[in-house]
Order: sequence, then structure tokens, then C-alpha cells
Amino acid sequence: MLSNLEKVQTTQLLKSLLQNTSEICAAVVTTLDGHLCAKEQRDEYALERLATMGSTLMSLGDTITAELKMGACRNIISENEGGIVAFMHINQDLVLVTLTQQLNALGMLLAHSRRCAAEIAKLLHNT
Amino acid sequence: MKEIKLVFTGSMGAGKTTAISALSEIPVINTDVRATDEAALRKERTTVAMDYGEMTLSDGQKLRLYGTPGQERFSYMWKILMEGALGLIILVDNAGEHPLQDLDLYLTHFRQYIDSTSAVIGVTRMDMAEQPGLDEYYDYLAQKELQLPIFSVDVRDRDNVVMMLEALVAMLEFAY
Amino acid sequence: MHNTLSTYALEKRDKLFISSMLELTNKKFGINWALDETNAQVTLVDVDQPTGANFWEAYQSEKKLIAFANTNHLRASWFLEKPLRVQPFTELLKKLSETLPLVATEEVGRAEKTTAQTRGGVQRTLNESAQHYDPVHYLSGVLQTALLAQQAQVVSFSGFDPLYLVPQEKRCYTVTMNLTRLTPAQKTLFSARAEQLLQRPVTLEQARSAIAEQELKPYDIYAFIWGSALLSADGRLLTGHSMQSFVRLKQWPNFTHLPREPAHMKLAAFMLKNAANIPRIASATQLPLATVIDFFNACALSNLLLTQKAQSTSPTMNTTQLVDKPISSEKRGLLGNILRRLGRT
Ligand SMILES: Nc1nc2c(ncn2[C@@H]2O[C@H](COP(=O)(O)OP(=O)(O)O)[C@@H](O)[C@H]2O)c(=O)[nH]1
Ligand SMILES: [Mg+2]
Repeated sequence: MLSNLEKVQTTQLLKSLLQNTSEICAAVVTTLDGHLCAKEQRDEYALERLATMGSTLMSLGDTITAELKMGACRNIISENEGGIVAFMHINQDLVLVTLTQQLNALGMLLAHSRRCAAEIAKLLHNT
Repeated sequence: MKEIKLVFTGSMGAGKTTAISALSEIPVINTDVRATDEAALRKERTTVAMDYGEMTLSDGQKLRLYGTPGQERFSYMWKILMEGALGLIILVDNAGEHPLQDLDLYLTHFRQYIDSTSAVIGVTRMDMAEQPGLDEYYDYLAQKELQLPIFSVDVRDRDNVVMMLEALVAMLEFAY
Repeated sequence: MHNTLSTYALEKRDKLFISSMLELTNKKFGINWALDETNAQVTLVDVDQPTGANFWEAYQSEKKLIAFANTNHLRASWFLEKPLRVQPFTELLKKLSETLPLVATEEVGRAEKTTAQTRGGVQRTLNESAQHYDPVHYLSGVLQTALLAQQAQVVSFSGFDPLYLVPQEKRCYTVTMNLTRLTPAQKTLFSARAEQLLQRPVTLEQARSAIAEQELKPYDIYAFIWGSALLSADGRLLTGHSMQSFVRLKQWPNFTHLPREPAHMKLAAFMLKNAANIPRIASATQLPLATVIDFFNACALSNLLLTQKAQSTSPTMNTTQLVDKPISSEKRGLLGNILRRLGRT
């Protein structure tokens, strides 16, 4: 799906996302059909599985919003006892999944992740 | 009230979505996305979460029809969708590269459920690939000591889909 | 009065050959042998098959066995050489029958049945047993014999397009028909008696060019045998079989291309998992005896049945299971609702 160069560049963008925001502890880029493209993390999460499940959830989100005629699905948020996970489209084919263990960091997670997603989209659009 | 559901599983492109569409009263809710891997060569779109269809029974109860994603990397969905299922329909694409291995994957994964409930197997696209023939499937089942209905089917023909369900119902009622 | 024969570990082809051959030899040589899997005086064993060799090893001292093989490497006193041929086989049977007592042929109720029944407008001949179904008198037997003789032929039946039999391909050819939903007219073909069918041998080339010219469609010859057995037996048990033998299905019939009714699914499901005799199958599935017998015949002619020897010790056969059904009435109702919704009741 992505060329090697694109993978390196995408991983670089995930790296800076984690460097700039200490609250975010992992980030994954996956294709919408569940293949991991790039990842970055502070802890040891099973990111391959997260990538596939991210694709499942994102497409469920798309299906739900289409069913309700609410336009495109921007993001899916999963708020949990131990943290928050956000899923969002980068473009038609790619999904960004990010997570934080801070329960009060939802706004920050969404803002920074969205900016990162836009940067990746721009990068891939230009190459 | 308990949900009544049937689950269609099996290899990618075997016809799960088509089979559910043949039965469902509502437009099938599906979560197909563009395939990006080698599978894209065979099929443009692939199911990543589920297909969902419905049939209304005479007493107003809904029979829910779920289709799973085909590939093993989505096996967590298989488990979620199978929870409390009344029965299982396994479809195998005979024109795939290794249809018997595909069947083996699903039978192994669902073996416990099959042993305690039942399942039917439909081998599709035999018009595109005659081999392996049904005899090889019979041998495989015998070797695994599985007694299950197996048919050659074309799921584009609703009668064939109905026949599989009929066999499944008979197995649930009489094969214990 | 007759003698009884069973077979063990024979290939499907040989088994079919034998059942048809018995019919021919009996008529021709004035002997009377019947296939009987449960009460056989003699068993023909393919000792070239590993299971057959084991069987031979285990039973040669207690049962009367015929070794069937390429050579008589076991030095059996009764030996039949492969491939099967009519003459050596009949000679062997003739010799054997001189050493054996005859068994009484079951004739229960024959007296009340002497009035000929009618089917398809033709009377059953009086000397034909009203109790047993003998394929030779029907389309099923015509097809079996064609397979045996490996002779292409064209079969005509009044009011029908010709049926080309090409046993070399295990196929027959005729106009388009949906075997799963036969029209009443097509059903008369499947229930036709042998004497209503006009058979004419043709060469393979003639058959092929006629098929191409008339754009006839191919069908599995076994699907036709299945259909004919179902539609011509009228609840009479196939000759050589017993109501009391315990049977189960070796594999699921591929109903996709077979004439079928909803009852057949129930029977197949039950018989796939349980070994039982015909009366038990009927009571467990709550289907009429005649329906069970017709299905049994079709399975037997398609070589789909496994005969179970010891019913009481078999792990697959638990009589209590048959009595108290483990599924709840609620679930039964639900399953019935699904079938109704599918229009299959
Ligand atoms: N030629 C042929 N095509 C079939 C047969 N069964 C299904 N198909 C086609 O194969 C494709 C199966 O796709 P789909 O239902 O999406 O498969 P899924 O991935 O299992 O959901 C559809 O285009 C069907 O029309 C068959 O027996 N023969
Ligand atoms: Mg699908």
C-alpha cells in the first residue's frame, strides 16, 4: 500500500507526534482493510492487532454514519477505565489510531491526532 | 428476548455477502472496504467488520443473519459474532488457491461450536474450478471425523442458499 | 428360496456391477442369489484393499468368504479373479450354491397383494414381488445396466425428448430440466418401467454428435438413478436389504442436483449421525415408513449407506437418545418457524 519511503516518512510523523505530546503513548497507521503501515509507541502494545481492529471499528463507524445520513465519520472515541483510544480517517484508505492513558486528555488527544492525520494525508498526497 | 442469529463464515469471495443478500428482507448492512493487499487481485472489496441482514419469522421474531470477515486476521470478529449463534454456515471458494486448507481453517477454529451444535458447508464457484471435487471434501471430513452436510452451491441462486439453511435446521433438529 | 451374498471392501464400481450381475445370472443360469448385507451365507471380500485384507484375516476361520483379487495369493479355496466377469462369477456361485442350504425368501403379505398395482398406467406383472423393489424393472436398473456394460445408448419414452446415456462419462444428456423441481410430466419419466423405455445402443460418436446437434444438457447419471429409485419404489424395500439392519449415511448426499423433498433433509440429518434400522428412523423423524424406505433405497443404490453390525454395542447407537429428544419444544418451534419462512415445510 505505502512505498518504503512513505512508510519511513509516516513513521517520522508519528515519532514527532509522540515527542511533542507526552500524553500520547502509541500511534498506528493502518489500511482500512486491516494492514499495519506504520507504528510508534512508548509501551509494549500489540499494535498489529490494534491495527486490524482499528479498521473494523472505523468501517463500522462509517457504516453507522451512512445509515444515519450524518455525513462522513470524523472519528471514533473509546473512553475506558485505563485511558482513551481514538480512531480517525487519514484519507479514504488509511486510518490513524492513537491512545493515551490520561483520562482527562481527550481534547488534546483529538487535536494533536487530527493535525498529525492531516500531515500524513498531505505527505501521501504530494508523493 | 434472546437474539436468534445465524452466522455465515468462510473464505474471502466465497459468497457470504451474496448469500445473506439472497435471504435478507432489509438491504444488507455491510462494512466492505477497498482491499489493498494481494486479495485485491481477486476481489476489489472485502468485509472488515460484518454483514448484517434480517428475516422476520411468522411470530414476529427476527432471525438475524451475520456474515464474518473472511481472513484470519479478523478472527476476533468471528468470536464476537458467533456468541449465542443458533447455527453456522461455512462457505468455501473452490476457485481459491487452497480451498481445502481454507475449510480446515474454519473447521479447526469453530470445531468446539460444531461439535456441540452443528454446521453446514457450501462449496461455491465450482463452475469456475472443478477441482478439488466433492469427493476430496468427503475424504477430508471423514479424516477429521466430522459428519456434516456439504453441498456444491451457487449462492447467486436463492434456492441453493435456502437448501443450506434447510439442512442446517434439519441437523439442529435431528442430528444429535 | 435363495442363497445370500454380501460384499466387503469392494470398490463402488464392483459393487454396482455385482448387484446388476446377480440379476442377469439368476435369470440365465437358474440359480437364485440375493445380496443381503445382514444375513449373508457368503461374503465376497476385496482382499487387495487393506480393510478387506484385515477382514479376511479376522473372519476367514468363522465365515464363508470368497477372496476377490488380482491373484490368489492367499490360496483361498473360494477365489474370484479381477476384473469382474460374468462367466467366472456365475460358475463360482453355481458351485457355491451346491454346498449351501437355501434360505426362505421373505414373502409376508404376498397373498393379499396379488392384485396388480398400477403405476404410470402400466400394471405390475404378477410374478414380480409386491414386497420388494427390484431396479431391473425400472429406469434405475436401465441406467445401472448401461453403466455396467459401458455402452452408450439412447432411451426413448413416449412424449419425451430422447435421453442419451454416456456411461463412459457417468453422464446422461437430455433437454434442460431442473432435477430439484421435477414437473409432474418429468416425474413419469423417473417412475417409468423398463418395458416402457425403448433402448437403442449407439456409438459414442453418434451420441456425442446428437448431443451437440440438439444442444442437450449433461446430468450426473447417479442423480437419475437416485431420482428413479425415489419415484418408482412406492415404499417397497430394495431387494437384498432388510428392514432390520442398522444403517447410517457414509456422507451427505449432494442434494444440489438431486430431486428432493423437505423430508429428505430430515432423514439425511438423522442418518448422518445415527445408526438405526428403518422403523427406528421412521419413528425418530416422525416420517411415514414408505418415505423412509424410498430414501433408503436411493441411498443404497448410490452406495451411501454403511451397515452397522452389532446394534446394541455400537457407540453411535444409543436407544435412549431416540426416545427422549434432547431439543426443547421452544427450539423445535423456532426451527419450524424458520422452515415455514423459507417455504420449506
Ligand atoms: N461463478 C460463480 N460466482 C459466484 C458463485 N457464488 C458466488 N459467486 C460470486 O462471487 C462473488 C462473491 O462475493 P461476496 O458475496 O462478496 O463474497 P464474500 O467475500 O464471501 O462476502 C460475487 O460476485 C458472487 O456473485 C458461484 O457459485 N459461481
Ligand atoms: Mg463479504
